[in-house]
Amino acid sequence: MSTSRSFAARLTWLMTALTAAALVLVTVAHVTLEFRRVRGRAVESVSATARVLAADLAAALDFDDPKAATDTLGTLGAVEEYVRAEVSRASDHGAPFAVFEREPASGAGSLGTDVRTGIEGRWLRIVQPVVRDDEQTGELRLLYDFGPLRRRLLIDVAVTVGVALVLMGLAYAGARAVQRALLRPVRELSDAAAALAAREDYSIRARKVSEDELGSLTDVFNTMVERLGEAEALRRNHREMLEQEVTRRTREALEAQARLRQSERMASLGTLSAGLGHDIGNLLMPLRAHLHSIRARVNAREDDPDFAAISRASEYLQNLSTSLRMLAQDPARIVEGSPTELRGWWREMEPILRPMLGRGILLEGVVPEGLPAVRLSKPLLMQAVFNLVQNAGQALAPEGSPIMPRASIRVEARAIGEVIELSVADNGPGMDQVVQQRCLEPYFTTKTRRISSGLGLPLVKGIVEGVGGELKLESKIGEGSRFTLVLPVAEAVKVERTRAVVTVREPRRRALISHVLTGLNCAVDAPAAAGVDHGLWVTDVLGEVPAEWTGSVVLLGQPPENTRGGGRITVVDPATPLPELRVRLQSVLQGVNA
Amino acid sequence: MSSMNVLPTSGAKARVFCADDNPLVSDALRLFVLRSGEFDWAGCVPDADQLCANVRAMGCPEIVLLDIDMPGMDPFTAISQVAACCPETRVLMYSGMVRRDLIDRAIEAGAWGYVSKGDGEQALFEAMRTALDGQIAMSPEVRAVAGL
Repeated sequence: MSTSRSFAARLTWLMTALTAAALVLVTVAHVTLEFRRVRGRAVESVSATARVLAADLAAALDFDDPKAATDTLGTLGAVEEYVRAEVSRASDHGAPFAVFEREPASGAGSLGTDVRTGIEGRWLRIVQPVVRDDEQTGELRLLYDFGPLRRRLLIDVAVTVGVALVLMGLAYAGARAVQRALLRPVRELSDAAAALAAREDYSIRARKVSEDELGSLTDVFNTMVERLGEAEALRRNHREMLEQEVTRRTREALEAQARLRQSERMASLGTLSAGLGHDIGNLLMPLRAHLHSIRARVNAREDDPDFAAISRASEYLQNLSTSLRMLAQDPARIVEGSPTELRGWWREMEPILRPMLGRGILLEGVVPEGLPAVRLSKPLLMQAVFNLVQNAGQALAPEGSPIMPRASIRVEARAIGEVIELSVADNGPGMDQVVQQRCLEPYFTTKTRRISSGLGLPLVKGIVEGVGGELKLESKIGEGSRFTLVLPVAEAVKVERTRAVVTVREPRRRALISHVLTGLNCAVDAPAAAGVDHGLWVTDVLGEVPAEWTGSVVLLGQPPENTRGGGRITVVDPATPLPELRVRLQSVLQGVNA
Repeated sequence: MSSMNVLPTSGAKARVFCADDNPLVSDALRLFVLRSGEFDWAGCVPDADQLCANVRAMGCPEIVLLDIDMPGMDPFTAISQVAACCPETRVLMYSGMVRRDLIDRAIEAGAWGYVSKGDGEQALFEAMRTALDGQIAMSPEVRAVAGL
């Protein structure tokens, strides 16, 4: 910025100086020429004056009248440049006849008989013959001083130079004023641009000082800065978002890695438990078979305590085997709706839960006989309760700490109206409000990732809600936590069974379709016992369906050429794969029940 | 439904043939079957190779119990072949692996049922009775997993 001002000032100075120099040169040249011109005119004037005086003096010389001659010369007194004038008669050999002399001036020149016409320094000397009747009767000598002329010219020069200097000063001041006026908006713009570049502060605006083109330029600049500010804010926003996104993605990638490791570990555990369950089951079968053989051979009583103990151990292991395999099932591949009888389920579940808990933790199961089955398949129920009991066990025996005194977990089932409440309660440390609110979020955990994926409770919630149930949580610091699965009773959600008749000729396919329909809550009747004219009839020969049948018909085979009266006919390809066949039949049944 | 019943003529017991590579299992099966008094033991092979020929050689026993995890032939192909060569024979998948996809594949291949080894011998006998009665048989664990 200072460089720019300095340049402008220097330019102004340079222009002013050049103008002044030119003015001085012109003035000097003009004065010199004028001096020469005036001096030439003065020479002519003095020469003319000399000729006139010589003519006038001719008579005075002729009449020998010095007074007249002196008077004539005295007329020169009116012109201050004439310093001295002498007239002499020719016969006097140069002796002055009459003289005019002004007050002698310093350095004044002199006249003499040998003087010649010419300029010498500031002095002009004129020698003019006095002629009378063509005869020279005398000689007039004039001394003219250019000093006054020089003084006037010098005064002129001084005045001119002074005026020039004043004008130059005014010009300079005017130029600076114009410069300031012109450059101010530019300087404002320049200052704003410099501040913008230095501080990257897009709130800076150039001050508008005029409404002319520079004012428009200021407006454009300010608009541009505003846009730049907006663009910069957008860019900064994008950058922050990008950084946040990178941070988030990085965190997610790390979490995904951790989850993957955890999933791999869980998958390995699942494979291990499935294999273990499989092998235990395989070994138990020969164990039981040979035990029976031994008992038959030794003719032991049915209640023989040794055999009874081995049988109980075998049954325990059998339940453990089943539970291990159930636990390893992929929840996504399990049908949610198949009901589970809770008492039998607990007999299988308990053996797998006990070894998981520390020896100091009491596991108590209160699952009474006669409870209605719940609308949740056994593997899913096992997985849900397994997670809850595992969590309770970890709360009672935190990693690296001893088991809490009198630690206990209570699994209790009870019927409440149309639902079964299955609760898992512990007397551990309990959860604060924050943990209670967040514990059902995926990947939230209060444990180390080494022992928890943070997916257990969300999995339980998903399982329960998947069958129209609910997961409830009660917890109090210092007293423990209770998770309750509110599960719909299987019977409560069943609709009235649909009557179905299956007359497919191929026995296995007939059996299969009957089996699928039974699974879809149908009462499958033999044709002879049908005695009804509604429901669903599945056949591969349309003619077998009586004319009075008003229900729906599923025909396994080609579409009929002529439609029959009565119910609607759905044609299904006999080669339809089982899962799709199940879906097709379910869809038809929904139409029947609608 | 009586026409579907393939029980032997009165007095005769349904014969059970098995394919299982675990001799402990096949031996236990033999003991259970023989002790049941309800079924006869027709023999066992350690793989599914030539299963059709073996089953036919045994006079097409009423029941074939087929393990799923065995060396040799794919068990689903073996089911199809037995269903083709001995149409009256009820093939039951008898396995410790209970997965819905395996259950569906076995039924589609022609099996009359799927029995979990973990469900015990009584469940097995019940499944064999059900299949002989012309119905699809699923043991409790299989029903729990497959929803059938």
